Amino acid sequence: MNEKEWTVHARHGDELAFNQLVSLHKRKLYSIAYSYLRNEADALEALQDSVCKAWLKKATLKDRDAFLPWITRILINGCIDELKRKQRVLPQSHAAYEGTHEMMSIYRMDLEIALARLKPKYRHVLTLKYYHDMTLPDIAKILDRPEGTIKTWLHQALKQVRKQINKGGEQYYGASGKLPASRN
Amino acid sequence: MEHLENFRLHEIKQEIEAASEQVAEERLHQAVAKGLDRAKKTSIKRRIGFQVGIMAGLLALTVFLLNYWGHDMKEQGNSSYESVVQGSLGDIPEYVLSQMTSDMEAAAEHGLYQPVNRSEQTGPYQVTVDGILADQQQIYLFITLANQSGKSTPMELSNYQFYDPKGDRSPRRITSPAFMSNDKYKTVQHLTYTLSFDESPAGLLVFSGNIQSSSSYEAESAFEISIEWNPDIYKNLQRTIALHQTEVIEGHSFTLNSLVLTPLATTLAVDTDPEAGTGIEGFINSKLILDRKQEGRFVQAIYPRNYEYRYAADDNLSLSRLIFNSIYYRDINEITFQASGITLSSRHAFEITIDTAKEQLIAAPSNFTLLSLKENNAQEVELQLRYSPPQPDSPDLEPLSFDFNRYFLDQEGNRHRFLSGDYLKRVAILKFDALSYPQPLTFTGNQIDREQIQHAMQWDFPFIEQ
Repeated sequence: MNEKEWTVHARHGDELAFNQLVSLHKRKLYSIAYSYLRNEADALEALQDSVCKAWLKKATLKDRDAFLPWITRILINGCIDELKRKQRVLPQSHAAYEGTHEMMSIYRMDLEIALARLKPKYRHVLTLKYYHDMTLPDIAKILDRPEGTIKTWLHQALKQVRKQINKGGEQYYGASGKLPASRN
Repeated sequence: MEHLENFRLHEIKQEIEAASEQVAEERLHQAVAKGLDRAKKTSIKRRIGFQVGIMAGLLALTVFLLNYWGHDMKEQGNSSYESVVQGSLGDIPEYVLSQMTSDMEAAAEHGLYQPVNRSEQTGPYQVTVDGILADQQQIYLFITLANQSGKSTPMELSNYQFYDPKGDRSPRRITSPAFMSNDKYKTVQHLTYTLSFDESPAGLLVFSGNIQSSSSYEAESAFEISIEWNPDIYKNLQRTIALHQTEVIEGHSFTLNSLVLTPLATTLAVDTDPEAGTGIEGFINSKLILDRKQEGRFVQAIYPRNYEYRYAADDNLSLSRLIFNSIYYRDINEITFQASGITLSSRHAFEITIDTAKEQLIAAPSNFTLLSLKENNAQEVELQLRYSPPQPDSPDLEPLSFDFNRYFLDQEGNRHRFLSGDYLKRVAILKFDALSYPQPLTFTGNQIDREQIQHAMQWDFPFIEQ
């Protein structure tokens, strides 16, 4: 039995077929969740949530080729919700790095802050393309949009990240390019 | 994209890849199982809600009609509602139910959950064993820890062990439990231990250990709790199928001995060559296929959720059991074991010599570098060593991994125990007492090499009990 057949069975409520599909892709899904949430516990929680939601929504899975894009879409929407929830609890600068357990260079912080401030659709495109090496057609399937739209979003996303990083440079380093004493 | 590259995109990507490689298969499996289980519970609640809705509608109509005839049916209405909501798992604590996979829930529905309710007060902490879910192969223990000190400092369990005081049967495997809550500052925490034994214990286990606050140097509080339960409940709930199938792949031999089915697990017992320096660590893409040749039925397969090992030559581990989800309550005629090869592993001891007083790395294998050495406070030194594994030959294969022994040696050969040892993204973080040691210090451990041999294999076994 191949993945397409499993998808058909899963859609009709076959738990083992669904389990097999999720088990096949669980590490990939975890990796995607981790790229948004940056800690193991949250990424596992997001994986668990997406499996739960996917099972409840299994009847909405129309295309038998599209199990992975479909569950990835559920997963990344859940990740964005979780990030929004964290931002409500923690100030943004802390929310973005909570749980990373390691010192981060200022360059990385700039990029991370820029990504965190993007609209979710732009963030999805950059994350899937640059952290997971996905092609534009793959991303288009996940986000359920035409390839042309994804190309535009990618262009816009890169433009906004550059703008944000440049702005961050002024903001963090000051005109002299040195770190203010309070950040040391 | 060039612009983004300057901002350490590659570094972040590597971090994500490393995190994805390092997360344990069991944790991923648990996340999937819990997600599916939650969904099924939600579906049941929705169905119950729907039934309650219909019942409520019918009830309202009945009450209306009976009231119309001058009767009060309110009492009857309430009892009808309760009869729909109550389930057979009603006596089990809510946190235990939320931890259960569908296998565990089916076993509990068949009466295998037994309340224990044994507590011990130790220092400012209370340790309670709430209950046990057990069969001949697997034991789940559900524990609650309560911090009654009035301070919300995280709790830590250390040196925990389980033993059977009558037969000295200690578990073959204990899973490292994690607190259910991500909030480590909660003063009440729940956790689950999973134990498996070579021989099922006879209804008595002692659980002992230490509990302390992770953020202070207060004394550890020791506890010891006797756990008693009734093993007769599951005494006869086991089906064994003899396999006796031996295979040799490029000089590495193994025998599939038997398949043991119990309500909580399916265990494939494997014998591997105990003398081999390079042991069989696992099978590639292994699965059990149920009723493969049955026509007109959807072929179902289950995948191993754990591997268990025994020690072989040179401290190498040798595969002894593959644990799958339970199929005990299913009707099966034939079962097929299928795999596409074997994974081999061998361990090689390493030594790292560091003068911690001079903060100088004296000798180490080339893939270890000294990342940092610092005193966290007057009592504790933290040593960080980075491990850089070479790329594995196969993308499916985990790269080389490593572990450190629990002790290190000073220059006079005295052994000292680490306070803690953590591995985080290929960085070992080793903490030890800040004492004046005769220098240099020697840290020892093992590097684990892995290789794969592709070799398709498949055996069909009729479902005939021994």
